[in-house]
Amino acid sequence: MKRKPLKFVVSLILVMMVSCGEPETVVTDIVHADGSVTKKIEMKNMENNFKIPNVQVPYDSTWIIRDSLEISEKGDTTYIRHAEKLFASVDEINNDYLTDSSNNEDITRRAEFRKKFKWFNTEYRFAEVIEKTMSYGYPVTNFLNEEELAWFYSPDKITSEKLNGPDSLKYKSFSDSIDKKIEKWTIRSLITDWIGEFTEITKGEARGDMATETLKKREDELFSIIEEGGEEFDSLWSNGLFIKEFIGEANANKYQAEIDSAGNIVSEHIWVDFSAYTQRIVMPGEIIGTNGFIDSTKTLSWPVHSDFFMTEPYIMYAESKIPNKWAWIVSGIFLLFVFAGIIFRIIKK
Amino acid sequence: MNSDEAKYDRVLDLLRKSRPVLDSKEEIEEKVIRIITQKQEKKEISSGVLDFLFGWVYVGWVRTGLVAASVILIIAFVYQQAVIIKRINNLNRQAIYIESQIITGRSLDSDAGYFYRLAGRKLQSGDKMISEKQVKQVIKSYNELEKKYKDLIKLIEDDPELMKYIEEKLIENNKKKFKL
Repeated sequence: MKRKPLKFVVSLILVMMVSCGEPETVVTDIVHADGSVTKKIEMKNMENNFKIPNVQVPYDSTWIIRDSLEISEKGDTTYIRHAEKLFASVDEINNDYLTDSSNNEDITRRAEFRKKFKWFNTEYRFAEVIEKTMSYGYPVTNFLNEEELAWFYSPDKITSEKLNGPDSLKYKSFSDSIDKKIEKWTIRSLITDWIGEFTEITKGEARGDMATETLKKREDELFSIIEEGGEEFDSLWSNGLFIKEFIGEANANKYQAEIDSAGNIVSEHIWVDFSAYTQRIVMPGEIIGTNGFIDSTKTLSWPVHSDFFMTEPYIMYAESKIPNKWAWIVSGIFLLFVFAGIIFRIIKK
Repeated sequence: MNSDEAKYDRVLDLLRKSRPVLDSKEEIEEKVIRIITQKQEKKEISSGVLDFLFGWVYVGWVRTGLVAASVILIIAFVYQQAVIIKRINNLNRQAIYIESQIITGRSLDSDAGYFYRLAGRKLQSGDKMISEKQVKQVIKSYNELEKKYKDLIKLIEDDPELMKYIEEKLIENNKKKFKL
């Protein structure tokens, strides 16, 4: 009887430990027409702890740092840190990502910039990309439709507003159905990733029941077992009982090391050490394309959660255009010239 | 023929016979020729400029080429603008407006937090920001007071009874102040 509350308290402490440490972070990339980018990081924390291993994005002493604080009516102090740096190009940002020692150092991030001259306009594309963590997982688009995908990628603020709004029941059932699909997607991806990693470790030399094709064919079976097994699956897997039952004792013994290695790799892919943050992008000129959300300051915004880049790269992109006024003038003069010439010829005739 | 008509004919004859004597007949001729030639030149120049500007209209392949380039330019412009408008319309449909997630705040010195904790009481600031200037002023005043009453503070700290008395008085004062 005493164990349950103790477990609860420990869990609560663990949750608090995790959630108290990291600041609430908003990263803003202000993209300039020449390809340079001003990166701004705004961090908010209950503790005055903005050490790099505690923050979601890399920054260092070369950044311009400003500290401030807010005091609530209750007397709670919130510490705020603003860090800002001008990067000459995305290559410099990518160099920072390569030497990343932040809290999210385990993930691979990069920035992309493209400038296209299209005579009347110059088009710009900037993207912050987070590479996928799983090598063989299924894309989430195989499991969710367009509407569900929109919900999945929505900022928490939007989903929680809907869940607590007037149509809360409708949205609750919608959210639950998405959660089930997400669970299915995660397990399916986990299985296919394990098969893929196992094949890679054995260099495809495993034969019989452990051959890639055979394992792939048994994917549905494996999925049903895991889904039905629920919480018990973890203990069955860790005891090695599940795998012995599934592929036979002889195979389990023969490929024990490879099975465990593949299992460890998949665990690392699933349990990525990652802290969520918000990414914002400000583009030069007029926005003509994006997959982000527009906030009240007309800035593009994306939530960044670990689910988003589990099986596919998470590309947060924005496209904009700046009209080339000189090209419009030159084109106008040229058209006038040709038009006048044609009229001149008609008159001369 | 009446007398008036006769008079008119006589005057006309007289005028015809009395022609003006020209000193430099050739010079006048030259002048007249020059004026006429200049007029012709002007006409030639203006038509020459036009011919130079629009001479290409008489060259078939140049004419076709320039007209084709104009048409391509117009098509490119219309196509590009149509694509952009379509993309902007799609963007307007897909855009979801969310509340800004900018974290506000102004620069404060790190000792501002220390001062607040030192004060040990609730500052009536609510969620509003204390401006940097205000905090600096408060810290400055606090430091000045601390310096000014350094001896008095030392005296109080050295005497536990006096310290206790002062603390009690301060608490009492605070209670009155905050109507507790």
